[in-house]
Amino acid sequence: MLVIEELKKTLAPFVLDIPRLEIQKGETFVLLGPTGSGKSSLLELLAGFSQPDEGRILVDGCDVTELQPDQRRISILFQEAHLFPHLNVRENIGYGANDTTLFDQVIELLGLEHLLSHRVSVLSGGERQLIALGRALMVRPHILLLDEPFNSIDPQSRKTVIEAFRRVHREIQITSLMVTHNFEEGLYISHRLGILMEGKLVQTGAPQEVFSKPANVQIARFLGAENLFAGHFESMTDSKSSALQSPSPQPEGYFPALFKTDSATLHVLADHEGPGYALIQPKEITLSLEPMHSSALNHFPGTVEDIIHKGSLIQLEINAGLAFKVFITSQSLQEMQLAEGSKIHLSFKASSVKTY
Amino acid sequence: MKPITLWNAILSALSGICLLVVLVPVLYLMFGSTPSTLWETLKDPEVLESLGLTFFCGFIALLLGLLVGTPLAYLLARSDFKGKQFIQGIVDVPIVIPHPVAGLALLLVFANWGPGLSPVGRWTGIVIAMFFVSVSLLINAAQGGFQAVPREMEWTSRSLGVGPVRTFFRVTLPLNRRNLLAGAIMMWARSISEFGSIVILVYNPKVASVLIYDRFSSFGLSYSIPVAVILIWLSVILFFFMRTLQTRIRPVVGY
Repeated sequence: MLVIEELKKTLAPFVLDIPRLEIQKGETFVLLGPTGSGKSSLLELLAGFSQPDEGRILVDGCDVTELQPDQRRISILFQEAHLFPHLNVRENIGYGANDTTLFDQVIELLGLEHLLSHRVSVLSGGERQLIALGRALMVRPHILLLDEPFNSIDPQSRKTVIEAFRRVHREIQITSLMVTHNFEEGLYISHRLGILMEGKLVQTGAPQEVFSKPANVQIARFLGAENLFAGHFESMTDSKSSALQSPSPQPEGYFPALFKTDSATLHVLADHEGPGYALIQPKEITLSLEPMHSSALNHFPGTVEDIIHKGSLIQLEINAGLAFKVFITSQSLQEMQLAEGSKIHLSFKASSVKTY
Repeated sequence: MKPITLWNAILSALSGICLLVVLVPVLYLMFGSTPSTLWETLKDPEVLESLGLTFFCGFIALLLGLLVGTPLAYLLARSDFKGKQFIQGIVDVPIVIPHPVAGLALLLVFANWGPGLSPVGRWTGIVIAMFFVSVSLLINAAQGGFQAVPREMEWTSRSLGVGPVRTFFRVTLPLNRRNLLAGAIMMWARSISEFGSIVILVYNPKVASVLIYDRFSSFGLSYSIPVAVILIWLSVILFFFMRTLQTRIRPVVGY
């Protein structure tokens, strides 16, 4: 278990400041953040390559803040594998290990047997990173730190390597902290997510929760949230207000409101009046060819402006006063016989609009 | 065959001039003595003793350079501290001052040492002079090499439970061996060719460069040339051997 307490480190141009973060034994915590947000600096502090101005780092209850990097039992993997080029694969994996009983297990787990006698210069990026992982596991670390470990791997082998990492976490249940700016990898590998912006841990939670309900507009923007609109909140006093209140209980401090932009007005639950933002996750939007009659208060006729194929899903860009993006399956696209210029209706609940 | 462009022709012509300026005098010297004269010179005990002294002192100076210059190069490559630029400047001083001035400076330091302690007029003085004028070359080459070893490589080793000393000897030093060898070659070469500072600090026993100068000033050109030729041939052979060794070492690249 890794615990960070009141950790502070002055970095130009901000202060890395983490009041408290606990990563449970066997948990994989992924820290997302834009470039230059302090992610790698945090890992350097945890690994002991630099010292914090204040605060403590606890590994399984022991304070390691003052310990040298080689005494912390914290292994780190960087973006590059940094295998030792003057050693072969076997020697690299065994480097640092006092106890070689784990060797066969690690080799089997990562499927490295066929590479053991190779020189590291002939290996692919993915193979190198797997060997670096094997080398790290051989010393039985209490914590594994991962600094964007999949970045330098070509897209074809990235999936295999990520799978191997997941397998390791499943089998060995090692406590891990990974930093990355790649959302997909973060979602795929993490038990819990955190968002680091300008040195501050601004949100933590289950991956789906963080992605569907970003705590503020900056996080929403960073996470690439679709359908984030700027506008103006106005409190509602008419009959729709009570209708809005009835189906689902509103969160404390929120009231029914209208969210007005230059081109559309939405029914929402807001916690303030005046300027603000509304976020409608694509999965909250229902599409239909005819106007829908439902409890949802937001109904908009629109026109399909663009159809973009994105792997197994298709992204529709719909002009309904506001420019909405919605994802559907190719089967739905066929069934609805949609094409550019098709007329369509969108609807979503006021309570599904996240307001800021 | 690639067509010869005007640019390539200009580059080749200018390079040719550069090479000629270096090569012509060296070739003149290398082939300026008959084999019988060279053989006679090689049998001269004073010449043999002088060559032996030169190479021995050069070797000792190099060992000292590796022992104390390598840590300094590592510190300069890896640490940021107050006065780093000043120390960097001190390292480069021997490169920029005339070597007789270096000899005078060393003489000033050691002139008043007792007869048993002073290196003036002894082989230890030769080593000190050689070290003084050449260690910068080793330090600069080693520093560049240490800077080229990714810091993360050392961090990885540390995070695998390996302490700083073992990390230095198992990771950093092996990865810098190519630059270190290049620096060692340069230092040793500079040492055995040194004249200006040695002649002031230690005229006797004579290193090869002092012996050549001595014979030239006492007996003329024909007496000094064979010694010079032997020194050049030995240096060329040793250089060729060491450069070959160096090219066999793979440079550090990011793995």
